[in-house]
Amino acid sequence: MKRSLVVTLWLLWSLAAHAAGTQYVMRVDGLACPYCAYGIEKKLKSIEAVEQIDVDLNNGLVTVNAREGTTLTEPQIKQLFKDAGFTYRSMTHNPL
Amino acid sequence: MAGRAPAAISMRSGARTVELAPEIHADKKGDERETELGLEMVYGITGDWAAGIELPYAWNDDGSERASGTGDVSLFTKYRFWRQDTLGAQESAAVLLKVKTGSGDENATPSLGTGTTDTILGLAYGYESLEWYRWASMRYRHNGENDAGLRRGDGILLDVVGGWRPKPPSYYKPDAVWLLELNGDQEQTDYRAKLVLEWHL
Repeated sequence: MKRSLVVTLWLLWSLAAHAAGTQYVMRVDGLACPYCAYGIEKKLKSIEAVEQIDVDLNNGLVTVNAREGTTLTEPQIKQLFKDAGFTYRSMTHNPL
Repeated sequence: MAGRAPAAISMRSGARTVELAPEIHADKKGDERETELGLEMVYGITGDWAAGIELPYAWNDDGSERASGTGDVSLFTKYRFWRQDTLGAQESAAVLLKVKTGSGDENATPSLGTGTTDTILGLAYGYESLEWYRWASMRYRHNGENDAGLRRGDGILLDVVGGWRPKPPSYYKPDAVWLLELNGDQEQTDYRAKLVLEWHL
């Protein structure tokens, strides 16, 4: 009984960890005003798995939290920023 | 966005997005008053190419008579052929083409339009950063003929703008930029300076 409970709890914790998703932090050049950030937010929100967006204008960082199950690829992100009129430099990602 | 620099090359639309910008302009010369409410719609075809339309509505008063109605509708396109992005700044250059139609009622008293189709071709440069702005443009205006066969001489339009954002911007916070704009119309021998506060909610 105790063993079943432990296994069940472990399974639930694993599911919760995997459901948390991924945080992507992108370095972008050309972000010179809040309106620039708004344009990027609109483009990122068109990706279904994107849940939260934060733009740090002073450091040129765009942080995106994406739901589990979707991966944002570098070519996809590079094209997205190009379409928005900015220059993508680099990206890191970590599990949430 | 009231107070944007003329012929600004801010390509803020982005690909496949629409930007709407209302503008209001009021001018008084002696007894004459002109008030114009304009709506500019810009569509981003790509991240570097945009096209749009300007729809003006004017109220004119020459001291004895008044007229109101749609003014001369303009169509324009701009293509950014060079861009350099750095941290918190963007510098770029673009070519511009604008066609001002003679759609306004030139026979109204006072007139609401020029009655001519004019073409403007220009080159613009811009630098936008988190603190400083600068823009410059040079445009050549070819004026068309009106119904009477008369045509104003062509001319060169020059615009220079300097801007300063006193407080570092934050996303989702109101943003204010002070702009000093100098405009010159060589054909009309009309040179103006204006101080603009651009404020975004």
